[in-house]
Amino acid sequence: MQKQLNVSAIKDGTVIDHIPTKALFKVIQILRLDEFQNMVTFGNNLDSKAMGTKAIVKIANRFFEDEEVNKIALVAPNAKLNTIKNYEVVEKRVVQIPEQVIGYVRCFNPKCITNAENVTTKFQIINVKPIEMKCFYCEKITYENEIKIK
Amino acid sequence: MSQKSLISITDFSKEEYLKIMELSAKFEANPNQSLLKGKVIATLFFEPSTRTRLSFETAINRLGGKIIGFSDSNSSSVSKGESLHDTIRMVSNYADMIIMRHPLEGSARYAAEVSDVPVINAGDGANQHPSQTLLDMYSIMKTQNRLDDINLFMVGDLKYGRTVHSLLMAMSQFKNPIFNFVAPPELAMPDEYKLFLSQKGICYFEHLEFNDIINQADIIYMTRVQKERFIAPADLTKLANCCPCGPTIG
Ligand SMILES: [Zn+2]
Repeated sequence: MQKQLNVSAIKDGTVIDHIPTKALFKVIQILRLDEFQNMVTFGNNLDSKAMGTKAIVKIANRFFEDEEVNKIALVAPNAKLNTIKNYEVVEKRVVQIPEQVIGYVRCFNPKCITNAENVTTKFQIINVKPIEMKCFYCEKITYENEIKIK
Repeated sequence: MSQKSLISITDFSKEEYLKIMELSAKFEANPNQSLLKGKVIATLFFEPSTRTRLSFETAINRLGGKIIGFSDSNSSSVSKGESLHDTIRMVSNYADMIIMRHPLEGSARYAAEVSDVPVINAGDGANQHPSQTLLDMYSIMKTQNRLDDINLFMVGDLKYGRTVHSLLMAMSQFKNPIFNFVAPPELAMPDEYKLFLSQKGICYFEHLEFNDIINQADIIYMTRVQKERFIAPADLTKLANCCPCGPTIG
């Protein structure tokens, strides 16, 4: 229960757990939580048995489709989603790496057209562990450690 | 052919390659035709490449088409900061087809997406130059009478040379190719292409220098080593030792 007290409980909404501490701000960016009007609480550097330390995000009155939440799998592949209704966990989900990554990751290639003009980036995932994704435009591969959020 | 634009050598199937080879032979036998009569073709060269531009413009003229365009971005609205998106939208209203060379990688794929008319990629940075690869394949077809069972030696700059990578991808679609790579370690074939061949179960061999094995070659594909790629002149010397013809510089 200690952890529950660190980040206050929500009545209805979504809890995203098991986010690597380094990925917290990337998750916020990907899900555009900084633009969200309802209550959002973050906890970072929380104790985790599995991960050592972890981050957690609680978003009140917001529920996610798989497609939307799977975007964070690129930076938080082990993240778990709890859907909360009336303080109860009504659904648990794990994120899955999508086949295509559209619009929210930069191509690592500085000579790629997507870094010069306002082009929606598009990648095909060609390997999952570690993540390797091929740019639809320049055909170069962006590796997991090079992933930068747009 | 189902697709209208020509962007990347990887977009084609074996059957489509063979169809293009067959058509090329017909054009070579009878170069002056009026297939493009009444058509306006735009040649947009955002960076200069005299040889590529002249070969495309010759082909357009021989096929009866008319040309609009520019030969480098200094003499166009691009120098005034117009985006590629806007240039392509504008030109695709005027022309029936766009032939484009651009320094940025992926620019041709993007142009084809934005354009209402077909786009031919005449080189997008270090990425693709499919018409050049088609010409290489045509030369192999013409001299060997086949594209299957080719023992292909690739010599020189196998690291940065975009033409070797494209030709490798294209030839790997045919039956039983054997690849032999001759290059110093500094300019060796990148791992991703070797991995690609392994995954397809295609044989390849790497050599540091030219030796007797070259007698087994059906085709020897020499690349031009670009001097500006090298940091140390010592690398050039190494290459000169490795290739009997030495590197050509320019
Ligand atoms: Zn790219």
